[in-house]
Amino acid sequence: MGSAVSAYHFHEDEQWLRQMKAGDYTAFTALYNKYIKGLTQYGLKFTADQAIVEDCLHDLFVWCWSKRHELEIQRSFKGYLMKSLRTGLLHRIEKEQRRNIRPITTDENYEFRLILSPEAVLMDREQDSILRERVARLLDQLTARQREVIYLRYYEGLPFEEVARNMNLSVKACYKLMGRAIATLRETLPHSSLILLLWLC
Amino acid sequence: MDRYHNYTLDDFLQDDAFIQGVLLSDAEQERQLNQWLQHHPEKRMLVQQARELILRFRFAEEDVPPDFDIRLKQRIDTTIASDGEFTSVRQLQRRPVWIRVAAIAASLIAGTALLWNWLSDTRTIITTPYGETRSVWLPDSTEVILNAHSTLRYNKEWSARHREVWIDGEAFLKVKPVNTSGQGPAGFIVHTNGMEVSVLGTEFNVRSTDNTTVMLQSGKVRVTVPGVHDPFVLQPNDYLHYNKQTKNWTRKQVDPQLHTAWMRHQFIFEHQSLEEVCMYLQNYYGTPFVIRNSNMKKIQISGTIELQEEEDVMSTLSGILSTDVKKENNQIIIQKK
Repeated sequence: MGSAVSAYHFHEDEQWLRQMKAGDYTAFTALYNKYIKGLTQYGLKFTADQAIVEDCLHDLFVWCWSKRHELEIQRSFKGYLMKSLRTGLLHRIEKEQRRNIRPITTDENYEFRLILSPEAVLMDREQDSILRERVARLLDQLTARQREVIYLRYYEGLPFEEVARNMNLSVKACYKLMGRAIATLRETLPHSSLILLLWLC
Repeated sequence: MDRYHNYTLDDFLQDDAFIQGVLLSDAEQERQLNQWLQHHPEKRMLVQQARELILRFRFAEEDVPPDFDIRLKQRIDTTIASDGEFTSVRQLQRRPVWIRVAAIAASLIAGTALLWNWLSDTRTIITTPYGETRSVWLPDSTEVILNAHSTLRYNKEWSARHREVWIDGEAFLKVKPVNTSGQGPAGFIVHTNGMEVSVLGTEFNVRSTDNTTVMLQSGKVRVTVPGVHDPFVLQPNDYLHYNKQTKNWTRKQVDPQLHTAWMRHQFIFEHQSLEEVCMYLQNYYGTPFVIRNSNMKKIQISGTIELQEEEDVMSTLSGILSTDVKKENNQIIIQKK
């Protein structure tokens, strides 16, 4: 159910990974082209410093090619890339901050900036802007981890297991984290559903 | 769907399959869900709320310069070319998987100068995008015609005695024979997909994907395949196909037109499976091809496709197969009517 597309993509990645391991550089390039945009966007949520994100992406892809024979991808390659980027980035940001004596970023304490897209919600324009403001305010109330879990699950479409692995959490803890985020965000609902009902009538 | 029966709003919001269906706006899921809702109208509101909430999270994209991806890829290519690739070539040489091709004979190619991409300090890297081929002249006037989605690399410090290039993808080489004063003809080595093809001056086509193939157009070539003791001599129009995984090789006489058609922006195939044909086109255009009916994958087809616009390819393919070929979500879908 609904998994046909993602299953196909997974199959496609497997094929490319096999070719990459056999030394096919074009397969490596294909994987780069497929994932670089999403990875860049994800990376820039942790820091606005593009040079740092670029460095980490560079190291990640060079690593993938040079270690391609040892690469063991358990589930999805996308999940593997995202987790590796995250680990590398948090480490690098921490190093950067130690130099500047700023509050230290760790796996428990980091930034994750999310801004709603202007074309996010459709429907009534006027109501829309009120709603957007509410969602934006609620997003700000979330912790970085809660924001990240929302981003990975609802925007990147990673399944829970991948999200948990990515953030070094158990699946159970991940559900709980998501649950708390949802509880906060749900506060926007009654209002908007009313609009929806009127709109359907 | 049965489990939805007891679902609260939070359960919907945490259900992988439900979320996936909403995000991909999957038509089949939509249909199933609507059907289920007909029997459970009391859940309609809940499903709508969950869907709305999930779709609300469209986040603004961070501002990135438009050439960010390309510049970064060039930087990665350069790093790999300057250290990664050398390591892997050394690794491969230690393994007993290699082919040696030696040839005497020749053809001279004249041509106009071409722009070089001076990307790295030590290597020149030329990469063709999807759907485009390109001619490149090396410093010794050897011509390399690169097929789409292929990469050619060589040292900027070009040695007239030890000419060598690295190729990923497909290329046709017209190697210029060079006699360096009193030292005999200069060697020319092509590194490709774990193999070494060394040449003294000839015309041949190299393609490396899962398998590596060498098609000799003119000249004379001696080939050693791993596992086969006696080297054998390739004559013009000979075609060698080597499968790295199974270590099987095939040698046969072919119509060189079939293997060099790509240079005329054509793809000619005879009795090839639809799956293979699609794999070739996918590699050329970079757009995934999906064959919806799995029993169609193995059907054998013959034909010629002009490698021009994707739409033309789709209509030719549709004609050959007498079936529907359409583009959806950036994939080319082949489906029985």
